Amino acid sequence: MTILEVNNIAKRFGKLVAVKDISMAIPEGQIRGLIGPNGSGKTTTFHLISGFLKPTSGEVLFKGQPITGKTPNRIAKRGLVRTFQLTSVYRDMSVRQNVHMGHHIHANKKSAEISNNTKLPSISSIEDSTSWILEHMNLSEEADTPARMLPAGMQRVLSIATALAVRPNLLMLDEPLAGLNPTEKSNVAQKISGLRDYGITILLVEHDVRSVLSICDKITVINFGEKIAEGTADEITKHPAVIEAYLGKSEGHDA
Amino acid sequence: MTILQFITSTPKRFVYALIGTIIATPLLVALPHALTSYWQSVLVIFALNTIMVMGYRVITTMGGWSFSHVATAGLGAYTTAILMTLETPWSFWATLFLGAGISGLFALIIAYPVLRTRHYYFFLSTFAAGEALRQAYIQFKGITGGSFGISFIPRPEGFWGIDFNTTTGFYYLVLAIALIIWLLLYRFDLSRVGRTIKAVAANEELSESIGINTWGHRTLPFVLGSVIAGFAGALSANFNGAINPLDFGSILMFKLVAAAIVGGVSTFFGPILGLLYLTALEEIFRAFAEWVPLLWGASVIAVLMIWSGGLEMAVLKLLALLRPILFNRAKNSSAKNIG
Repeated sequence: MTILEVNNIAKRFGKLVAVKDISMAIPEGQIRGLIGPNGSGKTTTFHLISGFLKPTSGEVLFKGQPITGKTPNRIAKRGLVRTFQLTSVYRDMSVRQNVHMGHHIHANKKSAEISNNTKLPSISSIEDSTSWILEHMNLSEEADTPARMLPAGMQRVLSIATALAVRPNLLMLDEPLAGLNPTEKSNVAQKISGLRDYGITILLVEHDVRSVLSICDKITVINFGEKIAEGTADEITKHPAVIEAYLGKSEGHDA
Repeated sequence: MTILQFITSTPKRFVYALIGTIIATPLLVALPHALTSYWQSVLVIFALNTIMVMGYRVITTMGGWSFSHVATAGLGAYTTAILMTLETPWSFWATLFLGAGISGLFALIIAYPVLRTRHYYFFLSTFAAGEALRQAYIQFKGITGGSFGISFIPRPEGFWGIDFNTTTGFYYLVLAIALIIWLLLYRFDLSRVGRTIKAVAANEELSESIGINTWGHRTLPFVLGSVIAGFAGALSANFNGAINPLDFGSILMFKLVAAAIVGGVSTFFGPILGLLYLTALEEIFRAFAEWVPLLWGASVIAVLMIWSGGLEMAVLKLLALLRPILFNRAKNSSAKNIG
């Protein structure tokens, strides 16, 4: 089943065309990568899907329902949650408070079990769910540390843990590996792959192509606001349009 | 939710605050009897400004420093002043709540444009909204009395043997309302909604992305703070007996902002502490009244430059120092013995 369908979305800022025409469909349970050179429109596409920007034209369907133009908090309540590259934690809150805050949309139905359409276990209270997430993301030891004191890699894990608390069906990660050292990278990548076991579909934007290839089932490549290729890691690395986008034309055209 | 559940779910800090309030109330009730009539007036004005500044703190929890607070309070004052000076005057209680409601409604209306702005722009846009409102007080002469304002505003009728026409009597009225507002706002501050508002202020994008309605959690404190301002405004109209547009200008607004800066806004008590400091300064240097704004300004600059966090941080540090002395004396002394 297709969980996210993007149909011909475009975004113009005045005369500048940030996203010209992008379509893609993500089946449930997939880890999809969205890559492209600097300024290719990756982040704009991300904002358009998650509701932080309204597309000039085109539509976004989530679980078969149109979500185009809805506010991000409403989109999140439907099960599509995104993280941000740099600012995805509450810096002055402890790790536990961060994950606790992630349960916001579940807080009004305290007595009922936390609604669940992922394969995450049903847990009756927010406190228990917080502890469960902290344990499974290996953050228990740091539970009472203020988020700003954590090293970058752990902050990234914390941002994923907070997003997990919303219980999303589709998790969109904005450059989850950027700025991390190799050990941190492999740790975060492992955590992301592990989310598949909980039935969570993942769409991640990444600048660092190499690290993406290993964890994504399928990759969409965009450049100049248009999709130029889509396929598995092997297909993508051999695709002439992708090679051209990243390395320039082979016939003496150096940029 | 049953009453029992509500009581058991009440944060401990609120229970302590409630107990503290109950203990302090007799002292606050006795206080005016120890004062001359001049100091009684100072006390009433301080209590009124405390209500104002408590409302202001609610607004700052959403991250914005409004500059329309005093002008908004004016709506409460004008509502009371106009309706209580009619040929068939309205009851004070009706005008009090109506005035607060109108202040809140005004905040709700301007929220749509001003809450789109952040930081300095929020400050400037609320300043503009406040000035527009103050101009309205001047220009709509038929209703507001123009720059002369409205005089002969009666005070409410007393009850339980308290005469609100005396300063002490009116002080009890303001005190009762201030205490109720303080308890409600403090409970609100500690509530889940209160925490969510602060989370939105700390990181709006993240909050929105985890499903928090950030617009609602910015609008609510802005409107709530303005409602509180409306109460203070209405009461001040009754206390002074006359109002004019100058009462709701930038001088009082600056005093509130200065109180929030000097006291700090990360705790509920900060702005009240700041207000106490500014009022003390004002009274000590009453003989040099024209120099008082200079002293306020110097205090603000001093806090911004060398003592960020304000007076509340000084108090918190002092409490942290005193805590082991007060509560763990046994532990402390035994540790000393071993050492």
